Amino acid sequence: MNTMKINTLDLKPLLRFIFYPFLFATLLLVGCGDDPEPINEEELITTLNITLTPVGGGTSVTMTFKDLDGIGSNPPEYIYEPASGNSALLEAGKTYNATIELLDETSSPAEDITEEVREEDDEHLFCFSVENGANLTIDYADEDDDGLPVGILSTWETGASSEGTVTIILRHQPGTKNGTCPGSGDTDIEVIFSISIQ
Amino acid sequence: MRYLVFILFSCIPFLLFAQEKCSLVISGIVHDNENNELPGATVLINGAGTVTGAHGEFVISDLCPGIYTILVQFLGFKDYSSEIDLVRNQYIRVRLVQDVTELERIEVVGQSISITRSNASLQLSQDDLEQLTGKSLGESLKSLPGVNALQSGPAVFKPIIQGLHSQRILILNNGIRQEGQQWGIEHAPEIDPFIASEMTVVKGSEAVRFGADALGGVIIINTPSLHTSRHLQGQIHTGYMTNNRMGILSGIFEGGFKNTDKWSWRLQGTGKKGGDFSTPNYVLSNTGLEELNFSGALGYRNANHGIELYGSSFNTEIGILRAAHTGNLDDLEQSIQGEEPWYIAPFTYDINNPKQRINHQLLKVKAYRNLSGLGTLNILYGGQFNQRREFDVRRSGRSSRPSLFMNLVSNVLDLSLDHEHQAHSGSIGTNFSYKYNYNETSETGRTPLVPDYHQFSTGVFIIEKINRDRWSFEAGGRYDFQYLQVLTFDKTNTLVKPEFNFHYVSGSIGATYLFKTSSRISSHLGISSRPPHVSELYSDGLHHGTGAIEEGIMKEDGEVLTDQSLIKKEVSTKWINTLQIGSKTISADLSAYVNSIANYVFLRPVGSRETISGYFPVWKYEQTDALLAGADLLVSWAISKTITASGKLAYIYGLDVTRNDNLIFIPPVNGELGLTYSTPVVNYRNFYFKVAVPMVAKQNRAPITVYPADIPEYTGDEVYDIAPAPPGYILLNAEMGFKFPLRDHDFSISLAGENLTNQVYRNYMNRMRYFADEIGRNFTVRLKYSFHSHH
Repeated sequence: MNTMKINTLDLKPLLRFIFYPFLFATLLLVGCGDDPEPINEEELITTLNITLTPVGGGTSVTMTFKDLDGIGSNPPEYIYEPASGNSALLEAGKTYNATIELLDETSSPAEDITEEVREEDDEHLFCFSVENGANLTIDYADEDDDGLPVGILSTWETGASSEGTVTIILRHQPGTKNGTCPGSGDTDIEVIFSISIQ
Repeated sequence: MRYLVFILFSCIPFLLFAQEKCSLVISGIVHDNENNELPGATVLINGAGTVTGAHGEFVISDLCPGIYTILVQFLGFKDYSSEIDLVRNQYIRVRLVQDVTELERIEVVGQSISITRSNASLQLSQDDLEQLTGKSLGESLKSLPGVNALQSGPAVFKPIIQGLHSQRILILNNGIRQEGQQWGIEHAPEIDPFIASEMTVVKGSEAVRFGADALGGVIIINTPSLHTSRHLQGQIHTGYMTNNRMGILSGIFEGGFKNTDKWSWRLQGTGKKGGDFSTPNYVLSNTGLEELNFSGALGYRNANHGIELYGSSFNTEIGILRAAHTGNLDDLEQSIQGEEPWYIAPFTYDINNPKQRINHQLLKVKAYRNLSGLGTLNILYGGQFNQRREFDVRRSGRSSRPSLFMNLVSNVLDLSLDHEHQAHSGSIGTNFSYKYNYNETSETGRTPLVPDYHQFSTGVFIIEKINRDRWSFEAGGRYDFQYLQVLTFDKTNTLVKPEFNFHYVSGSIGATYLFKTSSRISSHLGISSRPPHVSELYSDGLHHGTGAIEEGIMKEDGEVLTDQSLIKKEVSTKWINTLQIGSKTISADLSAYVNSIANYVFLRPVGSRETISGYFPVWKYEQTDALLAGADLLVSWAISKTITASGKLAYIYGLDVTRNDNLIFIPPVNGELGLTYSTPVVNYRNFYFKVAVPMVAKQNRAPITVYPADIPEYTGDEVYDIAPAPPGYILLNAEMGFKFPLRDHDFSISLAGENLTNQVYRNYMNRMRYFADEIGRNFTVRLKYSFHSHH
């Protein structure tokens, strides 16, 4: 039993040697354990507005997609002005100048994301596809430094009365943009608007 | 005197030569200082090896006259080394001295072999590891039957032991639990395989000794013990792989100090740089990698106590196949429908986004002391700092900023008292660990997928083994407590701090019977439990690695749940049986197991969500009852003195019992046949040639297929995969190498070829299979140089 006692005593400096770094490290860590700050989601795009201004006068049309919680579980909202049921109301046989606006409405004032896309227009491309029977033609009305379309500005030409959808896709194609849709890269935006041409 | 001689050769058999004059024999017996015979000790003569038989005896024959170094090693004992001038047959008696300084081995391998001997385990020896030089840890371990890897591209390998991975597998890095970020399936272990002299995979639960993270098994990375010799010695490994034009350089140096034989040191470093991998038909763009690792150790020891300081730094950057990075479901559909990835560029060493950057720093202090009458007291402290950065393709110059940046700081303290006697041995101990995980959100500008948290855990355990003749029995029990505080935000961006206290227990029993021949049969039953990990509880957001929105058990439509009664502990009951046969010509290791897991945490598809970027699948962490059963086999047959045939086979069956559904990412039936020609080792000279044919079947029990385009409409309850399981495949690999000495220096050179037929195939266990083929033909040249000075 004696030997045991001696051993236990001998152990103390050893234990101290081990415990001190542990204690030290633990203290250090407790010090940096601050509460996290709420996150401001920087790259969030909450809103896409597309404004159609008729050439030669008439009623302007706006279509809005809004999803304030990003990938959160709240469903997005579609707003059409003027509307015909759950669709945007466009005039038949008309040419519209269309402008896309992207916003982050979680910041106040709302942040204009269109600017970021315009600055990097050589790696971004809006793709439009008219589907489900709408009588509509869409052409690009802008281009980047390489002469490739961007799509922030476009021209929409309506035909005879009809109903259908327009899908607007923003492709992010750093280094691989060649002007074709959908081309390579990732999808930053994909929304589907319903339209009614009357 | 009658000696039964059983020579068990490792994977590369160094069978002995039969030259006319070379017919001398060294035989002998190995025992400990109490004259107990030691079966299973390794006897090496100039690198050629055998294992002692049931009574500690060994014979090495067909030796030429000359000077040999004999090295005898046994776990828990000091290495015995001596020079023999062999002119006639010699009989030697080797007395091994118990080595408490070999703490690593007693504590770690000792557990799997002497303490929980009945558990199934397999090793990668130094020779095996040399043939795997340049491969990552996960890829190296894959060569053991029953061990597989969940891959994310050609360079990210996450080990799977008998169907379980991530939070359910513990990695012991040089005796200390690796505290990395294993929650993601695209997260590989943050360890440089060059630090290892040996790797052991324990396939049954070791939760009693190591706690909840060892529920599915343990991977033990053993570094060589510090040498007592004052002489400087070292090794330099170099390698080059043709497929991704990767260069590898690794060095290790060790020695002692002038006026003392109590202190010793070691320094080690590894560098790797590789470019894009290639399939037979195209370049896998953006799959380059680079790695730079260092480690150092300083040790002191005397008769009764010792201390060791160890530090390591692991740093890597790995490119993720550009085409594997997709946006919404339409992107994913397009990517997987294409025959080839949508982005293929000429070969480059450049690593662009998407990529991962991982840094892992470790500092360890361990000490032991012999307490007379009580055993050995071991104390181990480890501090670790893990940083994980993931970079995406982002807008407005944000690509240079990580989109995920997590830091994990951990402190571990282990105390154990081990005793070893003739009739019984065992261990009691306690562990403490404190972990703090925080996201650098100011850096990322993104909501983190896994929130910040503090976790404190502690446990106590006892394991005891009794030896009776040829039988040994063992039993162990453990109690754990965990305190968890999560720091997360609710829907209104208000900080919420839910707290939990978990209490859980684990236990195991086992028995082993040793046959008269060096064969044995073991049975081990382990019951282990673990509370779900924070990622399984509170994940919320888009996981870029999987392209899905993941929601934890305690998140519901963005709301934070705090009621602990919603969390069930995962409880695994695993019964594993092992039969090991060793004879003069055949050695075999067969293990069969059943693992029933209650409240198994898995990701269930719960629909899809419309966002401004289109539709994304939503997966929710849920709990179910699962069953895993299977068998692994490893056989080696020495056909002649120079030719050995070998075979491996692994089968696993996985079922979600409650939901009667298949489990995802269960490895398909796989095996390998090999044939090795090897000349005897004479004066360290040896030549070998080896052909191996790996075979993998199609996974016929894969989840149902729902293509991305159909996910928004999918309302089923079954777990799905976005592409069908690929067909099976057969590959052809070959390797040759030789060793030669040059004075005090030893060289070994090898040339290995993988996928020699340039087969086009896809691997079910690789997430890259959705987008691209596996890598094509690859040749690797390896050169190892080792030296030891004599002053």
